[in-house]
Amino acid sequence: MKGSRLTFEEITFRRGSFRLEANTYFNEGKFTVVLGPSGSGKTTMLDLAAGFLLPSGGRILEGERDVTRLPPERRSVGVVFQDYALFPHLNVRGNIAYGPKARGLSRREAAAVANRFMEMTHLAHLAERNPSSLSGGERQRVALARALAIEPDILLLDEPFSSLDASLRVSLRRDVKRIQEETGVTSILVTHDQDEALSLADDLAIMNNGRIIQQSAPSELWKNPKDLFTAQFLGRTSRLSVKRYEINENRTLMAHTAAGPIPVPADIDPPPPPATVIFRPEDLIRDEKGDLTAILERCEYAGGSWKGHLVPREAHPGDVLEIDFPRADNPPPVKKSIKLRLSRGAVRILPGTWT
Amino acid sequence: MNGGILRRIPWSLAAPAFFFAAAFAAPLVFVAVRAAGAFRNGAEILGSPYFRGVLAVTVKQAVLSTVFSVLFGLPGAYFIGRCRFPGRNLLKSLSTVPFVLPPVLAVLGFILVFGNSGALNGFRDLLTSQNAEPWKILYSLKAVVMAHVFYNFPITLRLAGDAWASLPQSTVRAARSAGAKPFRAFLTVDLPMLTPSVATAAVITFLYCFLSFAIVLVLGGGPELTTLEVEVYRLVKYKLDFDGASALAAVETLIASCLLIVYGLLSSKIAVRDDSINVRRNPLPLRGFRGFAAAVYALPALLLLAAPIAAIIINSFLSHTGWTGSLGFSLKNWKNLFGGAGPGSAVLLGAVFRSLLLGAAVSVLSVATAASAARYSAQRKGKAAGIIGISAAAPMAVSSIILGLGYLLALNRLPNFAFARKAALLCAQVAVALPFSYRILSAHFKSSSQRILQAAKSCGASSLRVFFTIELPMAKRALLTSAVFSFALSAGELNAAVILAPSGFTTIPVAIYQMIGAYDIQGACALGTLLILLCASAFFILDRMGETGL
Repeated sequence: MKGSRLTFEEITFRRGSFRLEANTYFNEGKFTVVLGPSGSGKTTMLDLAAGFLLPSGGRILEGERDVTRLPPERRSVGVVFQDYALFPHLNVRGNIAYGPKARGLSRREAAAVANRFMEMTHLAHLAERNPSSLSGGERQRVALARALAIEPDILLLDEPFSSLDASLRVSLRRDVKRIQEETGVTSILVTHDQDEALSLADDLAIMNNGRIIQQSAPSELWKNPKDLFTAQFLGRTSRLSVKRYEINENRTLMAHTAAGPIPVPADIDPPPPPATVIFRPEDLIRDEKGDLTAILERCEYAGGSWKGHLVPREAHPGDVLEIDFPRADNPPPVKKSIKLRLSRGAVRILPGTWT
Repeated sequence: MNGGILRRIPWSLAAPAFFFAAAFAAPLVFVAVRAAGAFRNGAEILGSPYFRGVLAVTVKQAVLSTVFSVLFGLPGAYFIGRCRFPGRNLLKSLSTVPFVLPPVLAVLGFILVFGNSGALNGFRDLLTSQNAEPWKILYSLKAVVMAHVFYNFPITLRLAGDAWASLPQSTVRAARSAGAKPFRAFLTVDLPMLTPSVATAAVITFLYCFLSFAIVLVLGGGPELTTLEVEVYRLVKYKLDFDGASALAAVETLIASCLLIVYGLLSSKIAVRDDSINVRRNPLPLRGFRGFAAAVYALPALLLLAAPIAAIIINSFLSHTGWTGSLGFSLKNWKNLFGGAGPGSAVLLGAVFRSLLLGAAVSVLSVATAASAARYSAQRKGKAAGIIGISAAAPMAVSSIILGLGYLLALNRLPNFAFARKAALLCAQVAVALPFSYRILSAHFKSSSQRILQAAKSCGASSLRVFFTIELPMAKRALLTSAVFSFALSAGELNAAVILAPSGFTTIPVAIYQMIGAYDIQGACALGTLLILLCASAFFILDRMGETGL
């Protein structure tokens, strides 16, 4: 199985007032995760890639092959559906052998292919079972094996773990990642679960309102979000509205916020207000000599640490500071003022205010 | 959007739509035109005391039948829905019997059980002194209402029973912990959740009784007790008064349509609860007072359900030993049926053969029409699906007598009238079966996910392959269920047959009806037993299929 690159070239799609626009590609052999809130157009994008929907403009390429107008059965795309969509009248082997048979293999060859993929997904002992007698995790693996059995160039996964419980989710996630690495199939998974996204993705695309807002390696997205939506969608984020910029006596450019002044890193070009300073919880440190002041509003035990939630005095609406207190500390008293500092160079300043 | 007008015509719907227009809509147009003509010519039908009398009787018998059907069905619904006892599933299955039992058999069974020399009076004679004045039940409003209750109380039993069984555990607990006593919780929480189902059962029962034919025609006992439906038949058959018949038919259909609309609105209110979240209540054991009440209820209920059928089967093995002799065991009726010496035997065997053939044809046509319409509407949803759903249910508001009248009006100038009448009979029976087939099939197509077909396509299967390897096997049960149901409906259908079948073209129900008219009750029973066997096999197949969606 060799993966090929999937390209969306100036793709537009409209349905009612919803409008999707995409101009991007998904790297061959890589695992791309599309992350976005519900209604952002993630599933529509998969439907376009699979050929269940036709775009109103643009081209879709599998490698060099233009597949824009090809029906699903002439593409090389395997799909794992959210509700699995197993064939209820066929047993596990029948489900997995369906694709190979439809693609012209003899009954015996198709059964051999099915056996190979049942081994890979640990389903061999369930071969004769009917889908209705399987557990959620088992159904999910049948759906995966069925999608892989046509040895596709591209594998699409539509929120494949959403109806499973938390522990199963993590182990199946590992299985999927392992199988993807073994087969090298270009994979695109859509989800609204950011843990899933960060742990699986070679490449992470953030989607909102029918557009891909930012697409790159997860660590890059984490450190360097391009806009407030991305910052908000990935992890806990501290955000402070910029009141004004000032150059202080040390000739450093400072962004003044309700919590206090924050030095602007030399490598960024600060946007004019309205703008928002953002940073991650791990970069905020409790320090009696710190320049920042905020009131601890509440503290949640997170097993091993405390998650603190602070709001500065005279805060701009939306201003919030997120902090992790290490285990050694007893949680500081709530409703009290705390002094804080930021590790160097950890902030980003993005245009706009938090909504 | 894009694409010309040609692309927007749903071609896959063309065949069923055309068939529906020709088989159902066209005859109605003929009736409507004729009725309009009659009204315009100043026929004061609607103002006459004759018409008002017929309308009053029609409504009166329907109201009485509905009230008693619902009252008699509700206790059974409680026992089936809330209690657990051995034979509960059997009882639930038995309640589908009237759905497949043709009215002409109910009529026959009622004559045998409740007639002047029937089983009930015979039993009474055994207990008391001989030669008492027999209870005169038949040929009266009483008999009609009783037969209607027999026929329709299972509707309430089923609909309300299902609603009762699916009442969630949580709501009544919420009410109780909020401080309501059990009876108050029932009145304020359970009853509102049961009401839509009971109301739906009442409306559909009223509609069936309003349009009832064979039961009123035979058990009503003559011109004093006549309904719109029976009167249309009499005007056509004996007076050849097509104007009057069309006028009555128009009124009847108008009222029935309103009832059908109310039925549609009500049944859409029946909540379908998600059983993955909803925890049902623990069924109650039938002990103590509840057990006693159940026994008191079950005895007449089972008797009412089983006695008429048992009487038919038993009587098929009896015959009179001489002109005035008493009844004794004999196989004469059966010999007559299967090529005996009697002159009627060839006719009877022909009737069986014709019924089977007609049933098969009706089954194929109704399933094909309903399946293509249901598949289309499940894929489109929206306005088109709504129109299809309403059209497919519409034949429920039109009796096949009226449909038959429409065909007679349309066809009576054709040269090969006899052949046209046979074709019309086929079409009318398909129209009768269509709403049921559609309901079964649309439940299937609505519940099957579009994603499964997409999964098959992304596996590389062509549309044709997806149809044969995925869609058809998945629909097998629904297709078979609706085919069996259509067959049973056609095999027992009397209304369209008596009005449309050309002379010499008798079906089983028509033959039974004629034999009742000729007082050959035992002969009718042999043929009736054959029909029971036919319907019973249909019933067992349906029962094996599980939920039919009816």
